[in-house]
Amino acid sequence: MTKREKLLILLGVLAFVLFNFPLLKIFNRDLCLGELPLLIFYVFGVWLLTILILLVGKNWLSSND
Amino acid sequence: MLSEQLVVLAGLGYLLFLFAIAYYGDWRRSHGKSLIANPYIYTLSLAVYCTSWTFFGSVGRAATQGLPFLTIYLGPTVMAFFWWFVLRKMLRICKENNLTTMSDFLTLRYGKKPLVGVLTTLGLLLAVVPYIGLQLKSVADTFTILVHRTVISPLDFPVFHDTAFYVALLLAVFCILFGARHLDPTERHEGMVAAVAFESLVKLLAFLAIGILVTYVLFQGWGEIFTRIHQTRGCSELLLLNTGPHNSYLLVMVQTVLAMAAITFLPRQFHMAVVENTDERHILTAMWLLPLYLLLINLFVLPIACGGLLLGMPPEQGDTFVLQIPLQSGHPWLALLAFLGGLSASTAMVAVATVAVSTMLLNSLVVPGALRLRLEKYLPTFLLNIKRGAILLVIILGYGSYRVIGPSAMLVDMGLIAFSGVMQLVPAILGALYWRDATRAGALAGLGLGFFLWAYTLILPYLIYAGWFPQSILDQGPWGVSFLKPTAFLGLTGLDDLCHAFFWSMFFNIGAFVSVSLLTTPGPEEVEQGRRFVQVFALQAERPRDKRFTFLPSLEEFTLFLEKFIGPRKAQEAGQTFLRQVATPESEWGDKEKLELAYFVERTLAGSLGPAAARFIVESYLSGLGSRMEDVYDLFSKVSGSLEESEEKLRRRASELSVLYEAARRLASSLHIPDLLEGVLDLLGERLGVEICAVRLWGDDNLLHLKGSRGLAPDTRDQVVKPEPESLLAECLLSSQVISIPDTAQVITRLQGLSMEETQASLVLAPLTTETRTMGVLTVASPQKGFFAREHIGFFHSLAGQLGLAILSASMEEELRLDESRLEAVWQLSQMTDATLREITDFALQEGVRLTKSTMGYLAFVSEDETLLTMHSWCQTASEESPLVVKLISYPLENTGLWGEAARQRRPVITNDYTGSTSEMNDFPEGFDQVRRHLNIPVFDGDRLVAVAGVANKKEEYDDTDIRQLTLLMNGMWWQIKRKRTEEALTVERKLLIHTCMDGILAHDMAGTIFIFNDTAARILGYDPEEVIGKMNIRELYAPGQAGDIDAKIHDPSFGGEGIIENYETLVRHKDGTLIPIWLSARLFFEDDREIGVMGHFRDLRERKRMEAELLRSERLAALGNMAAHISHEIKNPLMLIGGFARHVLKDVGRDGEKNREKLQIIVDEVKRLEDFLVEVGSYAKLSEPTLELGDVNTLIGELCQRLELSLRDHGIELALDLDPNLPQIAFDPLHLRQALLNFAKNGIEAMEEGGTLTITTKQKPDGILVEFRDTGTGIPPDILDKIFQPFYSTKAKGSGLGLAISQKIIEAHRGKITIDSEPGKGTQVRISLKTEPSGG
Repeated sequence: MTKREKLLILLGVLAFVLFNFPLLKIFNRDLCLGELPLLIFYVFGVWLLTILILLVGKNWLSSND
Repeated sequence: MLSEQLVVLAGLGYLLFLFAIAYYGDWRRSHGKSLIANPYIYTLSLAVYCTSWTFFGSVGRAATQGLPFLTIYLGPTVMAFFWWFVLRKMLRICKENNLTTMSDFLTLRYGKKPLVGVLTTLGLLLAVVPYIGLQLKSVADTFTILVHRTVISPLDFPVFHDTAFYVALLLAVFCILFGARHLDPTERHEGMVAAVAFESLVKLLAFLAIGILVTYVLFQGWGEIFTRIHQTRGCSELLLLNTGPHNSYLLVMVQTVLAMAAITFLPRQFHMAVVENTDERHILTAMWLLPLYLLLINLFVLPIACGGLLLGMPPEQGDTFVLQIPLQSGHPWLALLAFLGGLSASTAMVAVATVAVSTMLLNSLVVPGALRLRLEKYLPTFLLNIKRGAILLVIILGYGSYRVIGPSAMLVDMGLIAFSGVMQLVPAILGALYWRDATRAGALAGLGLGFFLWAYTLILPYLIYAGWFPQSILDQGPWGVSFLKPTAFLGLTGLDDLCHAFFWSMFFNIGAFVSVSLLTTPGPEEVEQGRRFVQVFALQAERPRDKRFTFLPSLEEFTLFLEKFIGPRKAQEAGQTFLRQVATPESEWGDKEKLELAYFVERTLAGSLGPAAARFIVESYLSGLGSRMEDVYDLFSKVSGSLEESEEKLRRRASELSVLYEAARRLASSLHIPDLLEGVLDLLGERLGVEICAVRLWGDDNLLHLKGSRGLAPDTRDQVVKPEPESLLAECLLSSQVISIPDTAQVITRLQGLSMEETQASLVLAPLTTETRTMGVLTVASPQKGFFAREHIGFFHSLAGQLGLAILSASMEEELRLDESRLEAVWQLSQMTDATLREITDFALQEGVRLTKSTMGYLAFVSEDETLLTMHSWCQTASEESPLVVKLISYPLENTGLWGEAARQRRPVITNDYTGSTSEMNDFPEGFDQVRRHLNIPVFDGDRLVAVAGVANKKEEYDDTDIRQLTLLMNGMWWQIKRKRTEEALTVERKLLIHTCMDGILAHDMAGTIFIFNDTAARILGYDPEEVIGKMNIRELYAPGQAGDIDAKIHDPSFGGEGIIENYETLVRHKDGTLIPIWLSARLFFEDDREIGVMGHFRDLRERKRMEAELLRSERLAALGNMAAHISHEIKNPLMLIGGFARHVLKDVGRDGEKNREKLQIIVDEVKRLEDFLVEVGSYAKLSEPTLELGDVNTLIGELCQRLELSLRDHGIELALDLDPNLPQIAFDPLHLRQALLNFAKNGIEAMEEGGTLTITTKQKPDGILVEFRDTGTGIPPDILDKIFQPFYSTKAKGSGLGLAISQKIIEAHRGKITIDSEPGKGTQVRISLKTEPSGG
């Protein structure tokens, strides 16, 4: 397993942590950012970021092959 | 409001369109242009994850619970990170083994036995069936809403009026058309995938359309919706987490984990991701695109949910918002689009799930069941219909579950139940992929407990709500046992039902799986599969080479065989596929290709029947071929054949087992190799009816020796062959594999080394192997073609293995026995310390004859110059007839025949075929030369040849073992002889040394017991050594009290060192009681730092003492004589003068008075001189101890000078004084010291007859003072310098000879020291040193 593959696994673990308690607790507030609730901003923001990372990660895997 | 007909038409039309797509997809595939072989279709097909639960249910959950619905989609996003590792590995394994379901995957990994598959299938069925029901409910509900605007409970209608029932039937037809139009060994349905991908697109677009409608048409964007919902009472917490048990953080985590498992392991996901995958690189695209798809489809869930709430719809109807909003806001066409979107989601899910589950049912339940019930012959005909039936069954079950528990649950609950069910597979799957120690028992335990607890804690409550079980189970627990309450298992409360079920099921599942796996050992099949699964990437290129069949069916035969299961067209296709794969024309195939074909056939069948069944069927088929029943055997067509086969098989198996058992028994009963071979060969004949068999073993000469046979011509008895590299013999020995040849005519060129009888038709060669080497080969043959079936291979392999092991252990045992026997002989030799040389050699020779199984032997010594051989010993066992007569004579080495050869060549010589003397020379010693077999060996001492030993008349031929044994034995004997000689010489020397020593030598142990006592000691002490050694204690020998004294002194370092005592004078007791003075030197000796004894020697001092005393007496006598002579001389002279003058005076009395006066005066003077002399003698004799008093020596010298003044002047001598004024006072006797100093001064003066200088000096010294007299007189000649202190020695005519003697005595009494330096003619110097503190005084 290459280092980048291992890194990808680490990022996967990170994604799991980001979507869970206790990190969720930081953003679980009755606050709005613009007109959107903070929590929704956070969840969808991280989600989008995750997808971008996967897009990059995909290139790592295919370039290694 | 839309009319029913319109909706029905739209729905049916949409389904027809899907068929068109599916048909087009299949058509494209059959033309080799796959429609779905691109990553985007693959991603869309994976979107089958989004069911109507997503489409309608997400909004419903969002409306009631808020954000947690998102976790179902975040889980897959997290899982996407691991797909490349987990999913790809699973994919690789499934492609490799043509696995089409999850249950097959687990079955194959956990030992190919059906039970794991059965458990998996039942569990998944229980999980998925309600989920399918949920889809039916969704379609029915949405249809009703669209047509009637309200949801009507299905339970109000009988089944035949229930829309859902018809939806179910319709979907069943749809699924059968999609998934079971025909059987496909790969279970790939490209058409279905294409349709599903299309549906995924439709549902996404439909949902986005509704989302845009709500967000941007009905409201002014996200901002407005969220701002307003925030202000609505009771709704604001929808935007937060952890406000209650329905959206706790724990739930978020559990749902994320469940979704991670579901996206990969749900049956429909597994089917789409693994079975329908065309290229594993598609995963790379799906990794990021599927999360994006999920994000998009969820983007508007919250706005729609909030919009619905804001529009005044009740949250509990959230599941219908997607339809209700467009309907109520006057967009019926959008509602229809939403309906079609929902329909897409439902149908896609149902189609894929039923295909997956029904395949599972077929492979894991139906086929193994049929095989067990011996119904396999019907299988090929009904397989397709069974599959269709299974699909129908699954859907009907789904409908049933919907009728049973549907009304009590929202859409979302069913989904989570299914997710939790799938979660139970995860430990077993991950174990399969990554943990080689995972065992079948562990998997069974984990799956069983997991599924049970899942059903008990999660499904049972719903069945209770639905009224199938009494409510009391929930409230009080089953039978009133409260800690078994399904929702508060073991008293665990406070968790919501999902987390509760998740925890308990996983707790028991993982716990049981891991612990049972660790406690059990996997079977060989599991170990092999574990290796293949875990190392699938590493082993990819490897092909199964571990089994060997020489007789394998051709491609055509295999195709015919396959047809029975998958139809002629697919079978042909499979055959073509295989030809493409191996890329070699069939005519050029070898074993490798044929093996691959067999493996390929097994894999192809595994696709339709599951791995367990496929393996069974192919193995049965293969074992049938190559046997005698080739033509009658057709497993799936003829019952009789199959029954007969199995009976035959059973019988044969039983007889083989009994043979193996019997063989093991016989092999264990003997350690004699010929017995072993005969036993096994007999057994083969008796029990298996094998008429031709043989065993060949490797000899030391690297040739194969025929060691035993049955049914071979007699002339082959001692056959020896060297197998050529190409021959079957060589191949068998080299590869250590059993080779079975059904017909030797096919391998006519490779039969070298085998006999005629063995090569008539069928032949099996089994190597006799042990772990490390091949000992030989067992051949079994029959004149009948194909006599030996495939099972025989295993049997002969076991038998040959057993035999090989037995031979190895027998030969090792034999060597061990010989070695042991020899070692014992050598040991006995070493014990023969008192034996004579002859006894030793006779014994060694006798043992040598016994070890080499000979009957006679001799031993001859070689003379020092290696020219003569002298017969020394010979022996003969009782079995020999003619008594051996050997002359004890010497033979010149150069004339001896063959037996001298060993000595001349200096190496062992074996003569196995001696035919009698032909030459003049004596080939062997007399008596041995009539014997056929001889073994002669030289015996060396270092490089020197010392002896030749020979044995003769062994029954078998002599070999290396005999040489080894005899050589080692004879070396042992020679070493023994040598040791004995050395020891004897040493002992003699030592004894001589001890006993001839002039000192007494004795040694005793720490207890005092004497063990060495030599003759001198005995003589000194008057004992006999026998009386003392071992009987007397050393304490009895020492004088009383001396023993302890000596013991103390020997440990005292000051008497010669620690543990040593040197020249210590002590007393010992003679036998007669007198004490004898001795000088004792002794030393402790040690063993391991422990004192074990004392060894000492002593010298009798009696003689010495006597001589010393005698010497002393004679010295005294001599001194006395000397003194008497001197005194008489000193007295005689004056007496003669006195006498003479007295006589004159007597004669002249009165005559001349004056003359007489003079004479009288002389007499008086002489008398005075006599008196002075006598005073001097007296003062020497009774010189008293000095009385010391402190005083100044300078003062004494002052007085001295006054006294000397007169005589100094008389002799004209100058006195020089050099007195140290700081001279310390010392203690001295003034009278004595004055006399001594006066003597020295007078001597000085007397030495200077013609004048000179007398110098007196005093000096201070560190420890005392120095007085020095220096004269310039005649000096003292060196030869008398050391005599001048002797009494009566004088160089002067008138000296008494006592002056210096007295002076010396005085100075010594003062503990002073006198040194005299003198040089004749120049003067003398006398130094007297006196100590300040007379030491010791």
